[in-house]
Amino acid sequence: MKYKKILIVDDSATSRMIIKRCFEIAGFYDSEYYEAEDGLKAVSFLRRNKVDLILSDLKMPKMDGNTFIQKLNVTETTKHIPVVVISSMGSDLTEEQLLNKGVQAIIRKPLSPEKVVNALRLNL
Amino acid sequence: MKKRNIIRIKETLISAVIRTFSDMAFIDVEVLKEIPEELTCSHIIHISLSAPEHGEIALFLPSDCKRMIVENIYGSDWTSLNPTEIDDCLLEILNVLAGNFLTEYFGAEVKLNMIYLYPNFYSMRRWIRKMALPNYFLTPKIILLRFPLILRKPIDKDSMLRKDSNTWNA
Repeated sequence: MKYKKILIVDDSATSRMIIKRCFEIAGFYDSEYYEAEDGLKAVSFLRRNKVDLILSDLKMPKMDGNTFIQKLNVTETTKHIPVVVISSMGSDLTEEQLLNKGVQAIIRKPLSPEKVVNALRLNL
Repeated sequence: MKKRNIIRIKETLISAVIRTFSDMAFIDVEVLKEIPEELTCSHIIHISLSAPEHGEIALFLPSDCKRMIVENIYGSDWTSLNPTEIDDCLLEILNVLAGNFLTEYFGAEVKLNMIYLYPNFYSMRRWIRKMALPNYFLTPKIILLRFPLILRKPIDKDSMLRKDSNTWNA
């Protein structure tokens, strides 16, 4: 698996840092990481840039994870990008519904490199 | 509330604390049998819960404890971090802790909704005053659990805690 450009979407700077660290330890140490603090900024970023993988929280201000994933799915340039949801709590949608929306994997916080490896091996 | 429910809440909470602190901050937690007399807390962090039930979850931490958690997560000295980073870090650990606790207590399929529009850092005395409003404090669902913990850094994970520069903000 090779993801050169990874976009992390989470409103917590601490969480973004932990996600990046875990992915690096899990083997993605030479990837380039980009950060957005909500779905709206992520959509704006994706209009101008291409990424190979998106890691998104669900509970975020301005545009939450569910809406963000819906936007990705209806946009020609982003609907092929694999999305991994990383969240500390349940969402309005069940895990099955999220997977049906094209989410490749769901990882519950606290994140660990082992969880990343397992999720990516199983789902991507 | 029935005694066995309170015991289950306490056990679930302790389990969530141990797991969260270990996974996020690489800290081992041991529960003490008795609360030391000198235990004092500086500020608390609290979030509100609207589903599956309405409520509040608050984390009381002594300053040393907060410092150890934040320094371990960031891999940086406390003095080099700005207040926003410290607030965000403590709020994130409470967010994950609450998510862990509620998921374990109510089950993974239950919808959770936590509200934390901005960090609420109250002093313990101010928070108790806030909670002591009529019709709130007197409801039987309020439980104040207080248990002392020892936090230890188990192994040197400095290599995992480095701050790298290949990150860009969108």
